[in-house]
Amino acid sequence: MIPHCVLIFASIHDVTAAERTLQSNDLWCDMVPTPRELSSNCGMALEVLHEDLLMIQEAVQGTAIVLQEIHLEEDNGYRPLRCFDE
Amino acid sequence: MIYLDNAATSFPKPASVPKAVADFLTNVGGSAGRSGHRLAAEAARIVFDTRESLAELMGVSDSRRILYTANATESLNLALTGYLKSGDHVITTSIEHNSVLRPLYHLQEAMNVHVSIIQSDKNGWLDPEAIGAAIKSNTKLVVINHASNVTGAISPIADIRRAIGGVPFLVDGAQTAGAIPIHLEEMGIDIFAFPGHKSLLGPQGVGGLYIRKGLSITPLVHGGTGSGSEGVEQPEVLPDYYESGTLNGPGIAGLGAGVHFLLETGIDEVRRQEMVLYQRLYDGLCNIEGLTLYGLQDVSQQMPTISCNLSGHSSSDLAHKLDRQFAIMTRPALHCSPMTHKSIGTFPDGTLRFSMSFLNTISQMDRVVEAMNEFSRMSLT
Repeated sequence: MIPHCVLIFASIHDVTAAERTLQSNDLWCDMVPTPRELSSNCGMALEVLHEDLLMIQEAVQGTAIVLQEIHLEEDNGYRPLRCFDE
Repeated sequence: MIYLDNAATSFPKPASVPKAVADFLTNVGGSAGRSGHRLAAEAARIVFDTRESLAELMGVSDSRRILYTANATESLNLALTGYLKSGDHVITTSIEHNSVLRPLYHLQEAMNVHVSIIQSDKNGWLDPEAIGAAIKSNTKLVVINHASNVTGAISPIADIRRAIGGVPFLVDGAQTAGAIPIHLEEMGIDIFAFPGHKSLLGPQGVGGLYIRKGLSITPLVHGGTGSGSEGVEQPEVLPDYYESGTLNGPGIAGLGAGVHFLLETGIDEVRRQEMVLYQRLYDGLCNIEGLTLYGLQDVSQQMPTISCNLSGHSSSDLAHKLDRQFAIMTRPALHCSPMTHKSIGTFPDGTLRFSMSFLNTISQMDRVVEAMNEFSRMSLT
């Protein structure tokens, strides 16, 4: 299975902004409902490829997008990863 | 049919606008930020893209600082009732629309907000120094009409900004958003209210409010935002903080198409075309016997709006005859701006107002002049 991550944002505005930013950088992403196991202020999240995280960080940093959490999808749930600004 | 009531609402719209509204209602339909399905996601993208386009058009670096409302009146109510507190002093002018004066009157009567109204001259022109001189220790806000919906005169915003120093500055952009170049961050405007359905070419039912970073305004409406749903506190993240309830998705889609049209056409080109029309109509009207024109003579300080009166006719009667006999649509009387009419000496009868868009034509302006000449001849015989 190709490792995927879920990106959690502060609002649907940030989810959509991030989607547009990643798409303009030719980075795959999928807008998905925030998994129930993860708490979020926003009902939607972005699923991305784990291998793209560094490029995603470069694309998102310097923008006004508020990325709150990154979670790695595993067989038995999600594991939090260190967020870009931490 | 000659539509010259664009200061009220613009018509017709570019073809892409009704198409975008219909496309949303037919193919999208979801509620942005509410559900997890593809149609809700598509609605969210349209809401975001329109917000980004507005930010690009108005020189705003972070589009989340542009909030959606139903219209400029709601935007102004949000700004005024959310920012001013009991005991605050606010400065405004005699050329404001009732969408500013009525909420300020309410705040004065209900909340002990002190309102100073600076008088314009008889042409509707504002003196920036007089506005600056009215500042007191408790002045919290200066509210200025970017352009009069009666005379079309554009207020000296840059000079007023300088004259008022660091006092927060709310500009009512009802007549200017989409019609003249506006760079809100560069111009130092702190709050800017605008409708989507006039020069921004969107449908009725959508407007916006820009609030610069660092200003604290209490929301007008509290409720569901699709965010922070585990709790009952209003989420403070922008733009959700100010956007409770279902957004006007089809309206925002149409607005997005209108703004996209303006970005492609260029505001400078829109302005150039509108002022050609303005000059043509103005030159024709000013030679008509018995006709009085109001406002400034300097075309560079004018929107494409002309107010006039013709002796022997009430403005309402003229507007009715223009509509029925010539299919020319205008607006008479007081234009929801009674204080403006008092300032320029046309209260209580008001004026006949022609307001152009760049979709009007030179031949239409000539037809209006013919019609007004005919009414003038009737008065003289």
